[in-house]
Amino acid sequence: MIEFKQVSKKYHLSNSELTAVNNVNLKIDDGQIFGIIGYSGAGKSTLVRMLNGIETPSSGEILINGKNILKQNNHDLREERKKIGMIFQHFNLLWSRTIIQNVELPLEIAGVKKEQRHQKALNLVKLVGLEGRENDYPSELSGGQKQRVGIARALANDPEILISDEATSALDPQTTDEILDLLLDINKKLNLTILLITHEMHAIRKVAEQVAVMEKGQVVEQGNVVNIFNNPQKEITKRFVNEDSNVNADDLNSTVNNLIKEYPNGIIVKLTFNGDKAQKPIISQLLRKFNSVDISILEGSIHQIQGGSIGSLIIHLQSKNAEEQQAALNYLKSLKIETEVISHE
Amino acid sequence: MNNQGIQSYFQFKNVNWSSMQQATWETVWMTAISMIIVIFVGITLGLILFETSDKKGIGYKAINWLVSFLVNVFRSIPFIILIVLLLPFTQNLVGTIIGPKAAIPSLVISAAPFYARMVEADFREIDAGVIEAVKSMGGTSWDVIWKVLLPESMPALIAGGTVTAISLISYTAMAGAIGSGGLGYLAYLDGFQSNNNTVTLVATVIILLIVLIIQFVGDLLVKHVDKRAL
Repeated sequence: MIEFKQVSKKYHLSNSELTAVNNVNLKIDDGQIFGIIGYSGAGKSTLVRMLNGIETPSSGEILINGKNILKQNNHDLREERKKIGMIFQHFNLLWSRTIIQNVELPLEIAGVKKEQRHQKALNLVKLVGLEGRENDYPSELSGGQKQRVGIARALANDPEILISDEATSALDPQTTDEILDLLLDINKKLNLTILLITHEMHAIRKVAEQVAVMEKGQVVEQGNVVNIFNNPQKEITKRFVNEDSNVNADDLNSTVNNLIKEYPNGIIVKLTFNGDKAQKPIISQLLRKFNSVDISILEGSIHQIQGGSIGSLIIHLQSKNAEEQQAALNYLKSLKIETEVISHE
Repeated sequence: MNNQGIQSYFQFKNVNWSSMQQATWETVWMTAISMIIVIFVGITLGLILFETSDKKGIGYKAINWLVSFLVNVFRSIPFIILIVLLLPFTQNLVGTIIGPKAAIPSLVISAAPFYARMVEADFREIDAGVIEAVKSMGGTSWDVIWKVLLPESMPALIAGGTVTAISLISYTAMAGAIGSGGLGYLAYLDGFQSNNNTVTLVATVIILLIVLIIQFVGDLLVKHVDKRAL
């Protein structure tokens, strides 16, 4: 268990003070993939760098399994860091070393004997799917392959925690998915706690169970990924969720405006389904139940997330009979589907 | 003697080849010994400059200021003046002020600060992310120096070393003016002062060859250790 307790980090600039992290409280269970999302400058990288002591907080406590990592001398801190692997946006491999030598580096630092560390590095290179490339140099690899080396290197000392600092941000979408799958795989195989820092909701949705949304140094919203996705509260969270769904906001707005003009009596509703509700024939049931209601579908999408799927549907609902229209809306609400009336006149 | 025309360059019978060979050996010897010392001193000073810059403690600042000051001073003094200035120091250190051995202290004191600045700049070129990665693995400052700074800047260190070695060659020639021995001394004494232009030309060609060989070997080494683009 990792706990951040009222952690703040202030930087003293020449004539001002910058609060990079502001009173953050987080609890991260063992074996979990915990996402931290925010735009650049939100303080997420600073926050995780306090976990391995590369940055020290101005105030607050950080506990790993109940042990305060800040109250350690340099030697113990370095020992602690060996149990925390880290991967980076720009991979940070040593170009002067071969793949296998890069993976061996943390083991060299830990003082593992040559034979042993070579064997271990070979296994790790295999684990990340780079068998046969051991003696190549990083400059001979693609971005995705370099990150695989980064992951193998981060796992060399059998860490309990893996920090992924924007590890997929420099990669193309397909490679991003491959690396995320690898992280998920490792999380399950090794029961590793993973802190996933990113500005892409896509990455969170794909692998994380819990998420914290950061803005201006603060955690503004946190919880289960499914809940955050279904019911984002803060403006910034909604932005992240929308960025991930394929809805082109401008297109949708103009369609909505046209429909409002064309059918002044109609209402536009956004339905969000999750889990088994996504599979029920809700629309056809609704139409059968309320004869005078017409429905047109404006936009629909479905996303896979850890522990289920989320579907969203934006519909235009209209009836000559105003009462029946309201009844239909109430019926949707009664199904415990997230129902949001976007606009009506 | 009628040695003023162009043909005066080609009076090879006037060349004492055994003293030419002796002088070549002295130049190579002076350059090699000084270069070895320059590499150690230069990298050490460069490392001190790099490690103490951008640090907060007053101790770091003092060391950085002192090393920086010394490096700037000795880099700024023209070599021919430095060698004269250091005569008493050389006398105390090596017991003589004549011969190749006596040239070494001034060669080192002149070239090491020059190389130190290059080394410092080379370390600055290293991606800070890689240093952070090694620290996040629990690496000590020594780990950073031995596993990141030195190997990752090796091509630049060799290239800078090549440039330094070549300037050392021209310094050895200048040291000839105060009797250091070597090709510069020979060209000055047997060439210029004896009005024997052929000796000067041959000494020049040999120096040129040495420079070309150093550059060639340096480039080859850089290519061999640079794995950034394959």
